[in-house]
Amino acid sequence: MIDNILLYTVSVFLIITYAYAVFANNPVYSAMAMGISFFFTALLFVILGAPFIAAVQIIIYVGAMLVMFLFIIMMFDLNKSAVSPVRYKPSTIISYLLIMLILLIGFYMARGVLRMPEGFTIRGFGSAENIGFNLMRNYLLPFELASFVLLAGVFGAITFIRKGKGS
Amino acid sequence: MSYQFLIILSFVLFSIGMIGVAMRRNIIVVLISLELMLNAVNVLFISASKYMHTLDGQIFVIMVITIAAAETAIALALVVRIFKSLGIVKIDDLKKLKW
Repeated sequence: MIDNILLYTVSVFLIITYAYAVFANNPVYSAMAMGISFFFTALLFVILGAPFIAAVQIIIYVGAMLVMFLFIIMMFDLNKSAVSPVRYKPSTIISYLLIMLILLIGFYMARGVLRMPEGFTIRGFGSAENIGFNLMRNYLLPFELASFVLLAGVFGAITFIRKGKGS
Repeated sequence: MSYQFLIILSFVLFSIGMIGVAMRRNIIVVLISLELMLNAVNVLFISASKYMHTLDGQIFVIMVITIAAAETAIALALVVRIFKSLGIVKIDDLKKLKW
């Protein structure tokens, strides 16, 4: 029951954030909406019994990719507007309070006061243990190939970004 | 929670990302839409993995995330390179290879 309600709520928020990420005018808003949609996707993965993938999703997509996008957007200086001083708009205060609320919930969850509902465990089907065993036993070759793909990505990025002799 | 609902959800998310790739003209927003499309595919993989009771889908999602990370790094490097040498951020202006 709670699964269904949570699933439909997360789906609605997912579609809203996706639409906002695609149709927002400002690329910074677009990138931030993408990050929020990745959080909701991680929640969906937890509901669907994949807690390890949810953690990987947040670490890689939000921690690495979103930061990379925001850095590139900052480097471009797209809107060329003068840098405005920090103003304490209502949205700033609301977002600050929301972050505090999330931290508080995380703190009480870590203390064991608040608990996840019964169905959501970090053991069993999609746990890090099972994924690790499966990855090392059945999928060792694709795992190594993925590391080579990452290596190739690093070399490609460095090659593209470096100043060539010609230019 | 039904499998069909998750398939439809994944399809809708993929379509929104595809609209972004087709319609938006800012290179960075096109890349963001590409990431969103990959993420929609991940949703489909995870739901299939749940309803077929195998871990293969989750393993494949790890591979997709790896590829997406490498792809983003290279694509953003290319975008920075294009911007530094041509000063272009709109994808319509990039027509040097157009015949």
